[in-house]
Amino acid sequence: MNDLQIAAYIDRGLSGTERDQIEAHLAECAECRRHVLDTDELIRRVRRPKRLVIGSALVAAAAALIIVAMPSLRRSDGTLENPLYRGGTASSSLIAYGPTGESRVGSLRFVWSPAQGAMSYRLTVSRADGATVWTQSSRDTVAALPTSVTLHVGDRYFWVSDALLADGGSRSTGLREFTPIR
Amino acid sequence: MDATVPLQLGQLLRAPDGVTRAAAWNELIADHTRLLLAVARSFGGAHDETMDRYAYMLGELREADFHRLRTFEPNRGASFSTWLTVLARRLCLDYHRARYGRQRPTGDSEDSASQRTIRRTLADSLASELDTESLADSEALSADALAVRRERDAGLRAALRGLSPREKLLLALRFQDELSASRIARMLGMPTPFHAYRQLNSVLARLRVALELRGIDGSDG
Repeated sequence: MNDLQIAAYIDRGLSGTERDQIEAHLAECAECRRHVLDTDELIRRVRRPKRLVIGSALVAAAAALIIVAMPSLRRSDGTLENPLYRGGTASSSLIAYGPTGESRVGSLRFVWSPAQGAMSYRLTVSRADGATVWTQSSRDTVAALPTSVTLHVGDRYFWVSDALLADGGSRSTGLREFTPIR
Repeated sequence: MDATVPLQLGQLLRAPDGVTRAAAWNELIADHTRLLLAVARSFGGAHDETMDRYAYMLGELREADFHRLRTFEPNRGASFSTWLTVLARRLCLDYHRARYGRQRPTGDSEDSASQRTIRRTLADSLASELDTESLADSEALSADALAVRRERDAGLRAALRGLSPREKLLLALRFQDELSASRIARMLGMPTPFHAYRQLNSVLARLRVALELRGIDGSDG
């Protein structure tokens, strides 16, 4: 059985004849049966609706984060950017502190805000054509580019940090662009 | 069931440049990270092992210009998330086998283990009361008793061949995989476990009748 057949069987998307053929195979193949059963269980577990309980302490902490005046979040006219959505889509909720824009190649440090419940962070640095230059997974919210990775001065690069949460969710800084300079 | 291509997947596969592709990839992964992590976690082990499997999956999904993701066909009856779960599990299995080797099934291929198990259990359930004093191991059985057993086995094989694929699958799930009625009902899309019980009893009753028609009533052991 191929992956599409297994998925279609689980989703009840097969015609009567196709279903009979699949079930005839499943009756004989313990390995495929196990694959279907385990996948079905996984899907049910993942799709179970989760109840979100937002404690007042968490709401207060989030409000404090927004209110506190961080210099890097001030625009040139002195107004504050919205830290939750800067540089990303509405699904992003990690604040990307840097690097952004032109950044000295000798002191490149990737810094972002922590996410509650994060098990680890996956940092990806890529070129403008999408090719990955460097990636790292760690529990830190700071990462320094290793000396073995060379970035070309003047070229456009992008970085993103994805927080992997214990509940299986994720948070992201969204793509951030920077250009190494001397 | 949403049988369409997710927006991010379409954007990823049609991306005109690397920036758009990277953004679409990040969005796609963000939307499905929970599912992929659940798959990675389902294989057990500590946090680092889960992350290794997760990283392996992402690498394989990206490989060769996302060639695995390009094989999804929305009009084949499967939703993208279900298909991705199946694919992710297979990738984790590949990773597991590459590290620990593959567990080979035992038993001969001429008469599959599943059929032997089913026939053995069915024979037990179709037989009349067991008299423990009359039970004997095969080496001590008389030639007549062995012939009776072979005939019963042949009768069961013939009766099983007359079942539909779903009925055969039902028996395999119950007697080989030893699943509960509720688990069987979920797998086969039955409304309740009661439906699984009813269908199972119906199949067993038909098998009993088929054996009796062949002159095998189970009272001969």
